[in-house]
Amino acid sequence: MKTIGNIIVFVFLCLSCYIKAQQDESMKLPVNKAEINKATNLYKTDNTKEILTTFLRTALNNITSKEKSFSLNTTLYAIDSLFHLSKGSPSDFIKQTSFDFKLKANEQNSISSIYFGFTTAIVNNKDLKTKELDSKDFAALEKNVFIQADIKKSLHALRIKKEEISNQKIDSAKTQINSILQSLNKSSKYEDPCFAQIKINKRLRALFSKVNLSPDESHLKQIGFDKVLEGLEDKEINEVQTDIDGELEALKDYINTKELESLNKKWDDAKKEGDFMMLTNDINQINFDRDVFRGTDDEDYKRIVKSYREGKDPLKMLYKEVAETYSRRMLWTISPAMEYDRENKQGIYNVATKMTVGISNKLQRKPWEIEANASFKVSKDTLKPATNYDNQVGLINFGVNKVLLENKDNEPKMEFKFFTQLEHQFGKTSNFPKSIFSLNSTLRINLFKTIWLPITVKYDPDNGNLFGFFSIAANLSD
Amino acid sequence: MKKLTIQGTCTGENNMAIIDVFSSNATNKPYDVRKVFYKSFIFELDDLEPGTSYIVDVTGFTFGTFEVSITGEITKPFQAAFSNTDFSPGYIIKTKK
Repeated sequence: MKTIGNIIVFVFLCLSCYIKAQQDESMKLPVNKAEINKATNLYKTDNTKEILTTFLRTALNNITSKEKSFSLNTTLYAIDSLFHLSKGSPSDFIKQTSFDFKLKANEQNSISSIYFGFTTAIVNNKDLKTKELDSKDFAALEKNVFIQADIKKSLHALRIKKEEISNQKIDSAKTQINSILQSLNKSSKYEDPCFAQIKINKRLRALFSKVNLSPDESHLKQIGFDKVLEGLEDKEINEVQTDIDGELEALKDYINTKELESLNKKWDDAKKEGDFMMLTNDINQINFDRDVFRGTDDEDYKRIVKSYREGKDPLKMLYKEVAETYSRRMLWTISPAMEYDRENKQGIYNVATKMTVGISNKLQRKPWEIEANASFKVSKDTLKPATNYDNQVGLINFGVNKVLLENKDNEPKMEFKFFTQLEHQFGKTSNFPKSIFSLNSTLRINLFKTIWLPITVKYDPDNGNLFGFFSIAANLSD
Repeated sequence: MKKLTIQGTCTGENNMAIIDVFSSNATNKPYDVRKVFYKSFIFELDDLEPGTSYIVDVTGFTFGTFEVSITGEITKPFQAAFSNTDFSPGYIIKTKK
């Protein structure tokens, strides 16, 4: 049993590695799947994820204290996703309910109690998996999606127009080359095949330059034409003409595919970075009145198009704004739980409710959150030898959580929570005092990716006691 | 004529996808179809020219997950998945001869 602490640490590390592996796996997926990095959950604070995990959370709590614990919180949705239990879309209850499991260890590092419970949301306005967007937010996103689709299509239309011009240049070169080849059948100044070949190559070089082939591309294409023209004097002119036509058609295909792939790559890169700067020259050539506005005089459209012209991605910006705004909204949960006290061989019953909400729904960097919690626990008064439930502790706390550090994508990286706590004994115990008031603070530091280090300092002003605890937690988001 | 099937599968309450299928080059017969979806869908087209390239553009957003697959009488099928993001991938498909 003394090794229980080591086992807990081992389990925590295994789960943390599993979380890391899951994330690495997503990085190995194709580009589109790997772009799962702008998740709504990223904007949620660690404090929020402690109240209701978004997928899976493991933690070693109060590591330095006499009563340390290992906790595992996993949403039923996570279990369902990992094991593919339900067919079709899971219900809201499954998405918004977590299973909570905790092993508590005593001073001797043996398990003192086993805790089972669940947390379900009474109000969860943060989670857009289950909550419908307000109609104005949906409409704004919808408008942006239509404009983005139209802009992309317009860019393709521009590309096709350029392709038509390069096709015309190729067709013109084809006419000229055919005319040179036909002259070999007649008695004229081109009757010398060598001279004709020189003339054709000159036309081809001019064409390669007109259709913007690089020196390497020109060289490669020239090899194809050289093969066709090799030994011209011994070949049937009509066959050579057919082969040259084939090479020129292949050149059309090559240029078109190259331009198409180049546009797709530029677009994908721009979307990935949220930066359309490399496309602004092309975007500025779009006829917005004809291809995008389609006669509408909507100011929103003009504002959105202005963003594209400035090299921004207004759809991505709005998506992030909406996701972040909703992550500030209210989360209120209730958590009934049962604990088995192994030392006293009896049950402990616990119910807790927690609420958190952003102080402002408006977007701001490093937001504030209000948090209010209440819980009631019934357990044994250990001073009495017989089984009893006289230890009845009510606890309320109220505080604020502030994001201190964010990365450039507004994801919280360090948080500070200050809260007051009042603990009151309702039972018939001989424990004194009946009420304890304390001032508390928790500093949460994001060590790397999913791993957080919450350090809690608790001050009991009546007795002048100061306690410090630190925990380590890992979150996996879906 | 060749057949193309685009299937979108969404989870969550807030999803949108615009599917554009159009000619990829000037020499193709002009082709331009658009459909808008707000939930899971199967979109079938059966009037594509054989041996011809088309662009399939998918633009939208999801606050859950969105999986798209492009199959049918084409030389190479495509599949992609997105989670909690806006998206706008484009695919160049070529129908079989």
